Amino acid sequence: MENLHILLLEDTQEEADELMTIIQENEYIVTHVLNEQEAFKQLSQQRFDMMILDIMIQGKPEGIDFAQRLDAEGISIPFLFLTSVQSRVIFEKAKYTKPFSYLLKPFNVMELLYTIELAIETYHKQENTMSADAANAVIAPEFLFVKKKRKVVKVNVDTINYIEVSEKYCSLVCDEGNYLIKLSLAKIKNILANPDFKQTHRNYLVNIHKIKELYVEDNLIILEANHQVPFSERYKAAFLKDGLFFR
Amino acid sequence: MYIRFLLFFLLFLLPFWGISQEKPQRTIFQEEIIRYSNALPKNENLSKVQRFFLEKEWDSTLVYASKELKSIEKQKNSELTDFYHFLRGYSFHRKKIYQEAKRAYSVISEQFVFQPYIVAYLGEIAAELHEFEKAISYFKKIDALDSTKTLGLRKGVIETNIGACYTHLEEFDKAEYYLVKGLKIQETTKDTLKLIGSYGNIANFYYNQYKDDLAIPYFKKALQLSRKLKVKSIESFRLKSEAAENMSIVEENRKDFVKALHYRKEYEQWNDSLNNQNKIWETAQREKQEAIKEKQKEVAILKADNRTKIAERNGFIYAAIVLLIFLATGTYLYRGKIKANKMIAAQKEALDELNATKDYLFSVVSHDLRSPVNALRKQHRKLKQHIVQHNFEALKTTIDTSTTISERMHGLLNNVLHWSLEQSQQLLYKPESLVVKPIIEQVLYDFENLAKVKSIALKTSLDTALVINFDRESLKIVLRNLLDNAIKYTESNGEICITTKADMTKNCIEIRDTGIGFSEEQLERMHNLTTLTVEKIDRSRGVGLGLLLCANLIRKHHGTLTFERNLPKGSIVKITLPKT
Repeated sequence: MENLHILLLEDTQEEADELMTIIQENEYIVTHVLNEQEAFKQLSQQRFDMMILDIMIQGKPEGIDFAQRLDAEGISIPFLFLTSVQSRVIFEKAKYTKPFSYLLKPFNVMELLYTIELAIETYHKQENTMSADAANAVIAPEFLFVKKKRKVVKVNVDTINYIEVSEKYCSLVCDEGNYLIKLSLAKIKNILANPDFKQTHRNYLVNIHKIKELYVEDNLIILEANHQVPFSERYKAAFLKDGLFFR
Repeated sequence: MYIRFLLFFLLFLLPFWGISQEKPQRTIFQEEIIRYSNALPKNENLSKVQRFFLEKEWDSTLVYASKELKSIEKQKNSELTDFYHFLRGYSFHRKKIYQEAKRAYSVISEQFVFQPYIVAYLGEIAAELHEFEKAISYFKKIDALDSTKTLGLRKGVIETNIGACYTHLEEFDKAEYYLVKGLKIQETTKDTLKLIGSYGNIANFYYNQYKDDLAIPYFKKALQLSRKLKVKSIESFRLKSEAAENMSIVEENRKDFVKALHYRKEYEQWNDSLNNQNKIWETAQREKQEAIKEKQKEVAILKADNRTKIAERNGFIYAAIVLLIFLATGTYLYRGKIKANKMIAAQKEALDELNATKDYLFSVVSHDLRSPVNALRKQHRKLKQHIVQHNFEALKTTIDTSTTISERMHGLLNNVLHWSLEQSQQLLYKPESLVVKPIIEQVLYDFENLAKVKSIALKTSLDTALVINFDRESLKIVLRNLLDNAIKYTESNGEICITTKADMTKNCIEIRDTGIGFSEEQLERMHNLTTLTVEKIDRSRGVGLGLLLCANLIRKHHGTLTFERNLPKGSIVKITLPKT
């Protein structure tokens, strides 16, 4: 479980301090930059999970320009716009940069945390998941984004034991706990695109590194922490064909 | 004295038309042509050629025959081509273009039905060109034919022609033989005119050789025959006068002056008739010309008439067009004016509304802001006193009060801002699927402090899964206003409860409080909130900008805002939205 790293573009030190206090209280890691140049520099040096961009930097809508430039350079990171203007004109302009969310000043801590969740959800096209219910998670190729108390943390996909279909969606069984992903198993498999995850059953996707025992005749797989996963005839042949399990 | 007929003329085979004035008779030749052409495959050009031929329109005949020749060039129908070549040759012949006629005749094949005519006509042409020997050989060919095969060619005429040719060659014996023979055959036919010509020919022939005894009877016969002519044509008068003149010359030469005088008188009489006839003809011609002139005049008048009519009609058309244009532009301008008037009216309405909004905002600023600012001033004075008195307990309550006042002012200013943005359609409007629960929690977060100060319990019963279609910031504005109102009118130790519900058709957000509630009158007024505008707001009656803004925003999202009484105490505010 890792904390998220946020890049904050904000020209007023006072407002930045206020914002950083709230974010840091919630165990996010923040890097504050005062202008575009610094932001680019930071982006080239570190990896960020998301950005908070103030639209108006020194009286100019530089935040929008920055987002446009990022888009033009193919840098894709979830970001949200911070603004004190609720006027349509600025928003119409901002719209073309497809912000993943926006936050109006003044805001309270709840609103800020919620908007961060929204930005991550929107970026991964899994809206109304963890922001609606802490049991939901957002899945990305390398990480899971889950809620821990009021904040969002990321979990490496290695920690997933297996994924099981649960009604319309999927239940994800990790070392730290279980999460619900509001996607179909096929879509999750597509997003992961990871050879470590093999389907053993119509309803099960298993992390092969977590397999402890394999009972081929009994159609049973025992995973770490004593999780049991069934085998189906249909998937068994393809699963065994790889020959990974007879060492 | 000399003899009039010094030259021998050919008796043309070409038929005389119009001998009888009643009805143009068709000669045997014409009948043959008609019969022949009727047997040919019919087409338009053929009938034209036939008609022009019969009407002796030689130029037209030539044109159409040539045309038809070209069109049948590829058919290799020798019979047809022969026929058209023949018609061409004949037309050239009649127009006295002898070389062309000869050429046309020469391409006709031997088998052609009218071959005898061709030979006879070639003979005539040769004679006309003074190639008498050639002419004689042509004529003799015909003469040698059986009379059944000559297709109506008269042997008498042919032989007379041979005689004439010999006369020109001064072979008088032969000439005499043919002339006499021709005459004999002519005498058997009824063509009186040609017979008179033949008599004249032969009489002249003898007379020129000083064989007076032989010549005189013929002269007499010619005269007698001519006297019998009843037809009043120029041709017949000419023949009569010539015969009489010839006789008078003969008698004069014989020194029988009495007879000569007698003949001379007859000659003059016929001559007069001839002149008369000429005059009649001329008069007729003149009359014809007069008639033509008359007709031309009429035509000119009619033309002029037509022109004026056309000019008149054009005038009408132009006038109509001009009128139409006037009408169209008039209508256009009129409609433009109406449109402009409408626009002005609409603008006036909009301006009135804006003016009312402006007045309202001014009154908000002057009234609603003035008193809290005043209150703040008082609180600040109090603060100063407390500091001087070192009364920290009182200091804390005063700060709390002034915080509350400034919070309220902030809310009011926000409403003013949002209202003006909403009125000018500048407020962001981006409806999306929203999970209601976190939004309500976020808004409640801001009121926690306030509630705690007033010892009001904030309770929630929220459906985690409830999703509505709403603009995020608009929903926050609505909730903030409603909660603010609820807290404002709820006394200490009261309770405010927010519930979300969903049924089959609608979603519902409910805010219950245990405050002072609404009076009947207030409920009635708020019931009409949907139709309320700025102008109708009675500011002293307690419906403020906040509620109006809420109602507007909810209506924009196709929802309704309703108010009820909460029993036993307080009120229920209900936002009902259609199911997404």
